[in-house]
Amino acid sequence: MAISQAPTQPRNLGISWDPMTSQTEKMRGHTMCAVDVSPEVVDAGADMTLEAKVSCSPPCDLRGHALLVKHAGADPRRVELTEFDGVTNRTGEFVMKAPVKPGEYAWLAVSPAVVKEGVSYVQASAPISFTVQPHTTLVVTWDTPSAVVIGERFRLKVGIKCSNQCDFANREFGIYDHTGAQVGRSALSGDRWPGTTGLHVAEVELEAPAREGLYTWSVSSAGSDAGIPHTEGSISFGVQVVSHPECRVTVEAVDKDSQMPLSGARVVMHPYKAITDEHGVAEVLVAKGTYKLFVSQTHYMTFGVPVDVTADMKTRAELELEPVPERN
Amino acid sequence: MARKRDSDPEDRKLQGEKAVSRRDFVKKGAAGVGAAVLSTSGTALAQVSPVNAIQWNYEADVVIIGGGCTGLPAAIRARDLGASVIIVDQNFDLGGKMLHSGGQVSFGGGDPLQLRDIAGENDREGFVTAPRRQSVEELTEDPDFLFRDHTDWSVMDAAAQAPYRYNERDLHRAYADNCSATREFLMANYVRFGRIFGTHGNGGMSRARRAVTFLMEGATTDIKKGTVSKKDAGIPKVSSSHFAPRVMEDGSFVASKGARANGAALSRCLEFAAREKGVRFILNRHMDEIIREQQFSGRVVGIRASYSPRFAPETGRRLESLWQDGNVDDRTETIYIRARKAIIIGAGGHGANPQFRSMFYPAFREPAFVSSGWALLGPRGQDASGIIAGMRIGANLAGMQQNISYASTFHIPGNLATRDPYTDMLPGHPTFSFRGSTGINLPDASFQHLIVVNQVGKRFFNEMLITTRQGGAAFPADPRKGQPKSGLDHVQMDWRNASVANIKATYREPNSIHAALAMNEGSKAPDFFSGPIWTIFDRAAVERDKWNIDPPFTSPTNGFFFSADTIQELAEKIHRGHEFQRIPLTYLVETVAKWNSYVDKGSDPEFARGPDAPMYKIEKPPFYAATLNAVWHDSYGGLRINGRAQVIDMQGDPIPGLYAGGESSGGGNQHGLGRALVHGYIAGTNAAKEPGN
Repeated sequence: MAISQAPTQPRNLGISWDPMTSQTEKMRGHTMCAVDVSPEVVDAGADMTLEAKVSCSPPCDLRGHALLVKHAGADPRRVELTEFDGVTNRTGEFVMKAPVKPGEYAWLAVSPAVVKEGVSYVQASAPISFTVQPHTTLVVTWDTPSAVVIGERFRLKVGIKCSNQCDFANREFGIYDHTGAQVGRSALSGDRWPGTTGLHVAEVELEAPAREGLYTWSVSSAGSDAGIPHTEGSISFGVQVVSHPECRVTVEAVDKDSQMPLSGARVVMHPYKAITDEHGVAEVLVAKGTYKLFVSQTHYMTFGVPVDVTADMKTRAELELEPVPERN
Repeated sequence: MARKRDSDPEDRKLQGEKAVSRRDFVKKGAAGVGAAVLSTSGTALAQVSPVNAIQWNYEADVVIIGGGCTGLPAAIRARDLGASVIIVDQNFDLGGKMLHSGGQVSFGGGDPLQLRDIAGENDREGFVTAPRRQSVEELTEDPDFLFRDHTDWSVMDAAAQAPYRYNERDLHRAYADNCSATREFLMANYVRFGRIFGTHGNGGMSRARRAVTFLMEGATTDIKKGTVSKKDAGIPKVSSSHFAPRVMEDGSFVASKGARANGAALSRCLEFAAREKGVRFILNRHMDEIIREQQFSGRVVGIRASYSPRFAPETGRRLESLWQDGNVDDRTETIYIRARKAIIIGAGGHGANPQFRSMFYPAFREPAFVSSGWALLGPRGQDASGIIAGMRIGANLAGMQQNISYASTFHIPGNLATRDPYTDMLPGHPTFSFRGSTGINLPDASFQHLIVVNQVGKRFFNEMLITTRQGGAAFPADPRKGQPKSGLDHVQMDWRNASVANIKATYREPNSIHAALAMNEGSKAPDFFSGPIWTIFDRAAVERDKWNIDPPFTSPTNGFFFSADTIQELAEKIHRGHEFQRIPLTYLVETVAKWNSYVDKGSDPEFARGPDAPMYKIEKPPFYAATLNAVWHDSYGGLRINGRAQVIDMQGDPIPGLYAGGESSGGGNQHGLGRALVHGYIAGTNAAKEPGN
């Protein structure tokens, strides 16, 4: 259970007025205090950015006046008002660490009573409300093959990271099939995937089911409460299982104008894929059936043609350059 | 804590201002940013300067508002006829949108270039040696024929719009009669045109009329000799220049090897001629009011204009024009300029004024979407101020519905990761830092590698069609342009062109822009902003299709491109980092998961991806998000003018001494530079002949 030091108020609009002073008491002023918190839902132990605002009636420059932020356990933190725009005094943004234990929190910001230019401003306060959550475990899978032959082994990559960049080296995860049965388990390496800030990666090998079809499998990594709490993380991915290919489709891709071969062109006959070689040729092994054969290449319009595959076959794809959009 | 655009109306006056909220404005006080906000056209409506009390700071026979495609030819023409001329321009440099244009100019009616190509002749300088690109028959016409083409009621384009039938007859008769003279005039003022090929959008269905302006690459830039240095012409994919904000293209196919073509070749040559002929320029100067003897009667006598400098974000230094001859550097907040003979409004259109454009399309009030040339022209470019100032003294409007009849008025260019997607500016122009990124310019086929989502993270259209747009209806006619017959077989004023059967057979408008602007779960009253549009893709897409996502094509800091380890973090980064992303992309994770399941199945039940192109999963980290911004490219509705380019009032009478042209005027649906250049030529001619005050 999280501590609560003030009555819960609407988020970010926490406003508390001191008792109204009488119009005749010229020497007393009142003060309004509010605190912005970002984010309002924060990871356990992570930084929160706060900014407190104090405005007075009559308006008053309170720069140098210190607010007290009362939070769990430790001594209150002093934060000075440093900006004044003629109406509102501000502290500017300052950072505080969120508690580690998940839950709802309401800290308190107090603007102590102060006398300024002959006016006595009474104490004001505002709650600082926020929610602490466990770190989120984020899971990604990639390099899943577009088609796997019945019973054959296939590989894919798994990446897992913490929403707050905790080190996930050696963290364990399991792989579960469409029935929920575990079909594999492994642990993350210490390597981070290139181009990412904190995605630990592992490569796993699995065996495809014995019947063709599209299966939904998942990767899951259990949560933990020890130390910094983490949620469970999971993601599902598709496994397209096909029967043994019976036919070889040879595709030759050329530039329509020059008739020169196009190497590196992508050939897709869903779910089968291939890439053309330096001679512009790709071989796709497919089951008998009807497909839409696509050949696409950067800067070219995609070539697409329906094909009915009953035996080995050859086909030629002539790709046209895509016109540059007219700018006028 | 990111400050977001809210729906405070003060925020929306200038679409180009950074997202300064009303709260910030109050916080910062009325100085600085406040002064800029208060001097916009919105407040001009409330002010009427008493004529007799005005202390004029400057005077000239002809005062021209805007040094662009209408203003520069008007100024040169008026100088040629002996008038003194002052041009004021809100920007720090001349050229307006003409400077970043493609430089395509359609005239016709038997103009000197059509005759040159018919005769098979080269130009006098020997730059144009490429073979003729159109047949003699395709180039042969007269002004009567051109006029009929421009008022052909029967033409329907592929979006079932009628681009010619609403054109103002008087205006287009004058246009047809002045095309030859304007072409001649431009060529006498250093403008070089290549061979004629086709016709520019809505420049007529029946004959070839378009030529592009060019300069020859040389050791130095020398307008008199017709050369541009390699650096000034720009280096493809590397750098633009102050001379040419967009890299000048290879013009060899219409001229000869070494020709570099686009609007800079037109704009800089006209600017050079105007400076040489003694036109004076007061730049950094926004016209706020046109002053008439009485608000709704009498002659126009002058203008009130406020100081509108632009400062480089990195250095704080004021931006300066490329050339300075004839500049008057006056930094007074407000000045009054007397016009002894006439005022010409060439202040551009209203594409950058969300309030004005909402007359045509309320959903396009979304301030995230700018007019083309936003960085180049700054927050006051294309702000409708010329039109509003005319309305304030009794001018009528014309062709207000004609925005709808041109395919690129508003559309979604396939240029990702920039706020200003129409203009593919590279570093080297002084305004590059306002945009921060050139953009990842993708052809339509490349959209097979990504998905596009709205502000809540949901897909809304078949991505393969999102950037597809119709070309303008122009020669050569073709069923793809809505015409039953092709090329020279097109028949003017033939009822069959507009028959239901033909429209059914040729309609091919994808309507994706309208889906992009639709209300969604994040849209709120009263404006129901659609919010920004995001392309979402993964590392595999970048590798597969070889995209360059590095600076200057993207910027790590301008809020139009993000990368993240996971889709969830990507959504959070967009929400935190993009000024118009007012709400979280709640559905993005679910949308990507759903998309990946569609890829597994090989079909997309929501938006029918699959038959057009292969589908790819979005799965390999890191993941990317880049904006796909809609743009209001140009505008058509504006001040009503007659064939003499005089502004017409609500009673049908000319407002004495007041002229307008180009996008400040309405009544014509012709796209591009030709319209504005002819208006400028006519306005300059007639303004110089005014009796004077």
